[in-house]
Amino acid sequence: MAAARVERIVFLGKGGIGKSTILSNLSTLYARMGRRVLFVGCDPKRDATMLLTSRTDVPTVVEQLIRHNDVRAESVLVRGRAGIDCIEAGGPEPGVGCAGRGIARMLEFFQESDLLAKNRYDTVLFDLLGDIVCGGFATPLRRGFGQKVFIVVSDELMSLYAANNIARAVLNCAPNGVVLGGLVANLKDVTADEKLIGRFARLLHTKVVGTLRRDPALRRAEFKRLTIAEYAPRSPTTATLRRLAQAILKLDPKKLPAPTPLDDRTFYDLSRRGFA
Amino acid sequence: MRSPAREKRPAVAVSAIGRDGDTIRLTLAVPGTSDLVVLVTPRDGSPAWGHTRQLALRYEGAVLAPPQERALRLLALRLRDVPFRSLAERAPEVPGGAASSAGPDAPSDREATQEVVTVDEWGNPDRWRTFLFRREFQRNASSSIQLAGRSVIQVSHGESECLFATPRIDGRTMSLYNYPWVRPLEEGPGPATDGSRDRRRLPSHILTDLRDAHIITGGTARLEAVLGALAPRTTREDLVLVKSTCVPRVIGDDMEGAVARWRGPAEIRYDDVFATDPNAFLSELMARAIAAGGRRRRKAGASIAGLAPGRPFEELAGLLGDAGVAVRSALLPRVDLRAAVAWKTSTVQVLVPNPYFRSYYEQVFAPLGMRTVTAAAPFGVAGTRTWLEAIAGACGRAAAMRRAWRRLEERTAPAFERLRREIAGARLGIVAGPGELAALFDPMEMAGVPALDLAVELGFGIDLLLFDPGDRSPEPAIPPAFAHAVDVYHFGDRDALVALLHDAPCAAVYSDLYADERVTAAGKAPFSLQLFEPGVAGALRTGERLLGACRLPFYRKYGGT
Repeated sequence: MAAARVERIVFLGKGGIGKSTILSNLSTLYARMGRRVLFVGCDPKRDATMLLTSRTDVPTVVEQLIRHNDVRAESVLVRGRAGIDCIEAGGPEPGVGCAGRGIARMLEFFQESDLLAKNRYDTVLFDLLGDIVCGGFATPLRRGFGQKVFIVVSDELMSLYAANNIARAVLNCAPNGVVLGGLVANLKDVTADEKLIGRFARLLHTKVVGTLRRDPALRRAEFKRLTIAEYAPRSPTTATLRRLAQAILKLDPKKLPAPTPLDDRTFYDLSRRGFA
Repeated sequence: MRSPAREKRPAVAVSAIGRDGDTIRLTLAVPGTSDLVVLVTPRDGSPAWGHTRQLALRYEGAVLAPPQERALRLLALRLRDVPFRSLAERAPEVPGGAASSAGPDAPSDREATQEVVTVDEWGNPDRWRTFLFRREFQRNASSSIQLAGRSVIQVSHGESECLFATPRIDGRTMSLYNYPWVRPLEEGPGPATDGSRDRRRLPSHILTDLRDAHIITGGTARLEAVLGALAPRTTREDLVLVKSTCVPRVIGDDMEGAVARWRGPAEIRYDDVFATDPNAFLSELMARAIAAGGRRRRKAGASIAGLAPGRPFEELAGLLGDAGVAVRSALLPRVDLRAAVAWKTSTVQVLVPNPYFRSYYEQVFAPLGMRTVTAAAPFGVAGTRTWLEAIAGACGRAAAMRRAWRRLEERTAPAFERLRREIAGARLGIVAGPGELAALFDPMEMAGVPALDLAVELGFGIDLLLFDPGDRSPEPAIPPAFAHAVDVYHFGDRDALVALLHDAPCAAVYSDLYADERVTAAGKAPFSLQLFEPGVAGALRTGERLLGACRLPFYRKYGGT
């Protein structure tokens, strides 16, 4: 069945850890591989779509809902530079309303419009908010949407704490076919303890599938509103991202073990020993 | 055509049957305890455990275990209309009384249907046997309270599905289209209720009508837009009452803030249904309106709280009027603040007992120091008479009321005689647990409605299907006043309840669940408090409705055996 070949990739992690940056680069790289890519932004900031489309006026599903009480694909799908289709859930102003319901509403639109079922895309990437704080934010992990989950982490304690929580969500959604693909280390600190992340990954019964290091080119690319894959295609970071993109495609969901998240007490006990 | 499944009625397990002269010995296999030997003889007036129409039932042994007693009661039900001769023909003659194995026609546990009572609630092990939902009474009472009068504009902040999709049932038909007002204020004038409102084109009820987008982006702005549009159109005479459903609370809408930012001349209040004392606000409104009203007059008059407007109210007010007692004011469940100002002009205030209005009674009416009548609610002939006489007596019009009552009795007696003749033999079923029994007979536990009193007064028999938890706790007592009308049947599990619902003589069974399939599947009609109406004419209508439920052939034809 054609639908089974669709790669449905979800990136999660603590706020500001680099999910949108990594995903927008992966989207570009997949598009350049000739894959038909849909980028799904589930973050009211919509920064990744702005990066992929060079637009600041990205329409969102929630906006369409407010203006027209209806959502049409042509109104919310934005074609990015590399032929990537982007869609953003949008959301409320900070501190009001229910952003989780916005994400859930967007996925209802996916079902209504058969956006994922018509074999229009072979790679769908979901960029989620940092923490799965309520059921609305977990809707991309429901059956038929996200499948391979990757958690972006650094060696900071709260980043790993968030990763542990996300692993719990993945475990809860495992009956929907959701799997933990692995951790992606994004080490902005040159003194970061990479081995600690490896030890933590083993505790979760998963692997570190890619490690990105501080690269000034990344910052420069962002200011140019480009992905590093476009701005510096021959840079070491682009090479790392390319390897990560390949590694993600190679992962067979059926062979990935269920994660083994820690309870809070164990997490803090082990963190004192560097997860050794 | 009945389905095969329906043919297999939950049965008593008769493992052996034999006859010795005029005594038939039935051996009942009772799960969890020893077999029970039942001796069946023609009914002749001599002492027995129990009787059917033609049979006397006794048992061997000194004491019945609860499961044995349940089995015996079920057997009695199954043999209810069976003649002795018919039973004897199926029992082989066995001198000395030894019983032979039951033949293939004898009902057994193996034949027992696998039907289950299907109403269930996750996590509530007793839901299958719950028919009385007193928690819902509270909600119904709260939703029945309506602020009325031109001075009140109610702004409901929420979604229309939650507010208005609850079916309203008027005793005969059900309407799913109970949308009083959903258009935003900007789109045009609302339905005018009186001249002053019409001039200013203000509806009495505005709904913010939250949609998906508002839930995502927050609904406070929408509420403020409605209030902003409303503000310049109100006057100091108006009261703007803001209420909300659950959704705005869940998404964190700032209703209190929106109300605090109100800039109109009218008074505005946020009625927080989640407040510790949700009645406090309405109490304050009523108390203020009453305080602003006039003082007592000399002529006899009554102010009545707790009696809904409608035919019963009109009838009762008319009867009081016949005795020279004018009804000057009425509050609750409809609260018209204009009516409240006349409250203290009455000789007496009448507080119709209702558990859900109790806090209003205590907060608003008790402090007034008026002479107060709290006679039982005017349901049925006797109840209505007592209630009317209490009020008239308190107003010094007892003799006039006696005369008015005599005239009423003369007018209504033929109708009651005819109705009671029709009702004779009809039975209503009530399913209850031991803990619910006291509540059934206490009107204050039944939303103030003395339902069983009225049913029995009208001539209905009551089949009480009582859950027996099997813990050998003493059986709760039936109040002596009801003993003659109530037959008690016990059940201990779902199968036994299904059997009783099928086999008990009652034709209608109480349930607060609309069209309760546990009842309808047994071929019986459900009924509930909504059929009960106060007043004398109300009693007649109540009797006709209950009788109609008992006679309804639909469920018997399609649902039952």
